[in-house]
Amino acid sequence: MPSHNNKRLVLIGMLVSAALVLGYFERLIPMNFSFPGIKLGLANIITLMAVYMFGFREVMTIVLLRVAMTAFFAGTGVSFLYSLSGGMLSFLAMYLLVRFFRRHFSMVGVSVFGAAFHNLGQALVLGVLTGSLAVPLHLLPYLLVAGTATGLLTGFTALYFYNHVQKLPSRLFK
Amino acid sequence: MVRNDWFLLVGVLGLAIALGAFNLVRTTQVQGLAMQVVVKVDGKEVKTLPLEEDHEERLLTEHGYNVVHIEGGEASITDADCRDQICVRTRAISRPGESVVCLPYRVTLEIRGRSGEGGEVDAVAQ
Repeated sequence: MPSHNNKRLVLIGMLVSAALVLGYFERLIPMNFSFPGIKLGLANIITLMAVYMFGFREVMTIVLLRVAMTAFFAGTGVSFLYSLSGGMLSFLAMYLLVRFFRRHFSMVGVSVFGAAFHNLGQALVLGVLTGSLAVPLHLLPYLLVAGTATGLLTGFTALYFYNHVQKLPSRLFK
Repeated sequence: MVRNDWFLLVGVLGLAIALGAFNLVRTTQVQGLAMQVVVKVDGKEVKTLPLEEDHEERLLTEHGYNVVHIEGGEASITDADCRDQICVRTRAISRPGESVVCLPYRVTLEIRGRSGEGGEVDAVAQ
């Protein structure tokens, strides 16, 4: 984890902007599924890398900034709630898994785990918004299957990307 | 990917299948009862319509409109002026627990089983 404050700030800023651009790119791709909440989740690539690079507070900052700024750019009130709950739950899940079982799972596994918790967060918000238990329960299986697929995709992408980041001179991060 | 990743992946998919099966079982338990379509706005019930009667109406909310369409024992939203149009693309629903959701307008259709004449909500379907 970078200790120097300025470098850390710059890195966090870069990761947030990368997440925003990925989110924008993702919205350009039409995803015509008949279920609400199914998406690629490209911003997960950034959260996942950040979990490996930084500590708890930095990653939380990145996730919260990304969710808040996405809401400014492209959000409705509802989509903000969705991504806040999904984003925070998946970050917490991935953080804990990496914190305690880092050597047992690869980034791909962590990504799939995080995606499942993202779906759980979405289902929770949907349950609260619709005031129903049956609605989220019926949607969740579909979300989980789609989330596993996109979790694999973002996991492999993050792994590939992170391997390159690690080849950068380490003084960049210290 | 390492071996544990696969365990995790199979675990998540297994959970999805188990939940899907659970939903299916719960759904078939209440089949045969008269069904109703519950229309909710902002999580509050505004209307219940019998599923066996063909019906169409424009549901106006503060955000815009959704056209609720019931035909041949299936309910759907056939038109709406919402941003993402997911509710319009969602396939028609007919079994308890199934739903059509319009997130931008916070409108949901939900199927419920109905027992007795008083329109008592079947506890299983809730």
